[in-house]
Amino acid sequence: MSRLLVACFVVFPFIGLFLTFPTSLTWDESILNTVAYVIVVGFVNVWLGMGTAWWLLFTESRWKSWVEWLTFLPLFIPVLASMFGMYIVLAQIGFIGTYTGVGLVLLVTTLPYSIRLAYNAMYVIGRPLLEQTLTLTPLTRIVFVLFPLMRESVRTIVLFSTVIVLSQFVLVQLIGAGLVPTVTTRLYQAYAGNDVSLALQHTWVLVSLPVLLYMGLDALFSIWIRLVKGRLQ
Amino acid sequence: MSRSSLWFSLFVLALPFTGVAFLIYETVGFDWSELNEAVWRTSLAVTLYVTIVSTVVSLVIGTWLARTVYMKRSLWLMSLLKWPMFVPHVAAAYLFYLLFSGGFPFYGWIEANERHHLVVIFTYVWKEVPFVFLMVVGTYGQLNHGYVDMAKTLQLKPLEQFKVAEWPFLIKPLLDSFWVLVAFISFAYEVPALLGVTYPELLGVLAYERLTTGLFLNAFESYAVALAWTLFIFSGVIASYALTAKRRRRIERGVRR
Amino acid sequence: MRRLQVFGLLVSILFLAACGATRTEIAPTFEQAAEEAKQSTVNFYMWGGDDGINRYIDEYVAPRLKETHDVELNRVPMDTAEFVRQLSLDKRANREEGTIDLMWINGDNFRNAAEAELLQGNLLDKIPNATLLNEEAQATDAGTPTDGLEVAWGNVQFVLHYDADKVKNPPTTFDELHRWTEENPGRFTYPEVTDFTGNAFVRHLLYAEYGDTVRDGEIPVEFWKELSTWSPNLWKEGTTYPKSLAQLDQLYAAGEVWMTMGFNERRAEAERNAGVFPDGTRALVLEHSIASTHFLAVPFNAKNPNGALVAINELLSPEAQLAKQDATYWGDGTSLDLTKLDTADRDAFLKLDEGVTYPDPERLTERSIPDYGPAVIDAIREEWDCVAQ
Repeated sequence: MSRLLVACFVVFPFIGLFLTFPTSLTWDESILNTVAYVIVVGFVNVWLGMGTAWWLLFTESRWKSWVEWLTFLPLFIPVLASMFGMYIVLAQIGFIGTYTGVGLVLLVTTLPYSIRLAYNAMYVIGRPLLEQTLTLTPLTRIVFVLFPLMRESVRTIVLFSTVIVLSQFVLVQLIGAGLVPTVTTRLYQAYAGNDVSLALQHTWVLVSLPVLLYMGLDALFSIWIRLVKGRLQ
Repeated sequence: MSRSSLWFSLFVLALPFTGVAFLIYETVGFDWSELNEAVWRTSLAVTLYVTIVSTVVSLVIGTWLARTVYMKRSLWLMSLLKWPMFVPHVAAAYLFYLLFSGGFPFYGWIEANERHHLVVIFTYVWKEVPFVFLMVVGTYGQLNHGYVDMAKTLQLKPLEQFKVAEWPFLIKPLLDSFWVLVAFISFAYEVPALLGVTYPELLGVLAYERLTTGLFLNAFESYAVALAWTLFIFSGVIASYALTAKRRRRIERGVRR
Repeated sequence: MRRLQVFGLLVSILFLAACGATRTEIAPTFEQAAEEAKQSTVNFYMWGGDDGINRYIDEYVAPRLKETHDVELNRVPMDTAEFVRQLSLDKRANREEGTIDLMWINGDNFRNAAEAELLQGNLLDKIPNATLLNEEAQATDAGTPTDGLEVAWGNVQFVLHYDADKVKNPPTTFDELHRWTEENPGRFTYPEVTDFTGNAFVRHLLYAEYGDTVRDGEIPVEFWKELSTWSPNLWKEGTTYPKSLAQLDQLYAAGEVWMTMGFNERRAEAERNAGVFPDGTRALVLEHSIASTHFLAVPFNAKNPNGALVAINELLSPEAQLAKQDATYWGDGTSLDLTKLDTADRDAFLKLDEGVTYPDPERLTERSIPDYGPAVIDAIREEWDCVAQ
């Protein structure tokens, strides 16, 4: 009974979505940019997150606790507090208003989560199991053991980074100097504006992008695992 | 492989620290007593209220759900709980705004844009419960059932069973989630900007507003608040982890299989 | 060893990229500027919240500029305060080649930008069409002298709009408006004073009580007490206010409140024609109305200042100004002095002034008052909080 109540609680805000359906969605630069960022940032997050978590778990170093704090504390720096300093630094390198600059700051907001998630996942799988894979070459280790084992975490990392990327408005606007339009920057005006159906259409886009990506990744993993299993037989 | 990605991670994650350095540089010579204004004080009060209530409620519900799902193996509920995670905060705030600002039967019962910030809290709880659930459910997955069985054999009350057999293992994920949520909620802009009120405003909204509208003079106030708040959270995080470190390490050693 | 290599690489990237990029100079004459600007792109930063304005730039101005001067106009939607802040960060970071070439600015944002020396000076002598400008509009920006740092683009006045189907006897003074809110509780509100429009509304109330005596920014406590007596009868009993004009418009469009307001006396026409605003929308001019001019400026680190000059000249041409004032796109008043135009152009402007939601132009001019300076705007922003509590 209480579970049903929870289910209702989870589902009920989605009612708002069905007040209208997107009628005329134009495929433009901002959607393309967003999809590209979501894929690239998601991929880099999985790569860096797992690599860094691996180092944190299995490498002995006297710098370890420092590195741990350095990868952990950025979780607690509000974007609002860090963005101006990042602007100054990126302006020195000429990254303002460029795709690279925006990509970098999107990584900044997502990577701490990914490292944490990957760390927890590897921790749960346990050291002994992962240590056995150390005999394999890195590539085989990743393709045949790590990814299939960490399927759920990889999906979570990608989902997290996607949703965080889709939430960034102020940051992308500032570092991209307005020249890197994403769905969020374009849609943000609609939330502040006076056209309800336009704002709702945008909500649809914001919600369906991560859903599609999540499902796509699921399909990809199923195929992957089937292939890996095929090799084993 | 892990080393090169470590270096790249460190390079990326050094960036936000430059932000903190910038804030320190900017607030040198700032007269901190300027923050002793009614606007900032009430903002701090309401921020603490919204943050603590949303965080604690999310933690309790999230843990309870993880436990339920684990005990009853309720897979459908597990996948349903992912749904709110697909919705970015901006979009979630807008959905709640639509439902609570007129045109729906809830209107008049609970409304958006009122001083108790109930809809703001509601939105955060909806968004963060799945996050807490995700952080905690892994722990339940690896929980050694022997502890629970032992507690039952000793005929402890349900609450004590939980305290002895589950709580020690929950400390770490709950501590993680607590600080992530506190840091995020207390200085966010989108949700309270859309669902909050003109006065009192939450810290993030007030700081952002003073930053982007009007006087540059006020920017220093925002910088100072952002810096103070970041350092406050930092010290909270470091202190709480240091205090629980011993206990956590003992448990971790015990649970390692 | 490997570690050091990677680290060294990152550091050297940082330093290599840090040098380079110097400031672009403006050509001495307009002809040379136009020559240099050929085949370049001008990044035009402007507030992007109005569909009509965006279409005016994208559908009318940009193609024209491409055709006449071979210059590409790239409209970048961003809130004014945000790009001013970006410029101030550029200044701090010594970024000599920025991203903004041309920007739409006025009021306290201009005051801030001018104080922080973020703008290029001496614009007027370099732009041929600047001779057609209305000198009074060009002289000051909400009380701050413009000093050639910006060029007037449009000139509008503050009006209220109401739904005549719901409001049978509209008030004629601000005092009557106060009484009207008491008779119709919950049907009126104004944006927060951090918003440009909300602040202007409070300035109107201030002017109604104290006139020119408070220009120094010393607002009497009685004024705030008086303003607090409005609160109980405002929307949501005055516990919260719309964050922006767009939100007030949304409440008005939904029929929750019966009046809205804003600079630009023609702004409701397109909204009414599109069915967003109610059919009964009419203008309401009370005893006085602040006139406000908005401007174009070129930032200190514009990459393409020559292109920006060409674009400004085009935006000031009588044809472009006429299309801007027409209700098809925007309905924004011209910044040109009609007496300086030739007869055909002048007649075209005079013919435009017909619209269901337009106020009587003569009455509007009659009641026009110059704006208070930034001191009052700031004082309102800082002291208004006591009303919202």
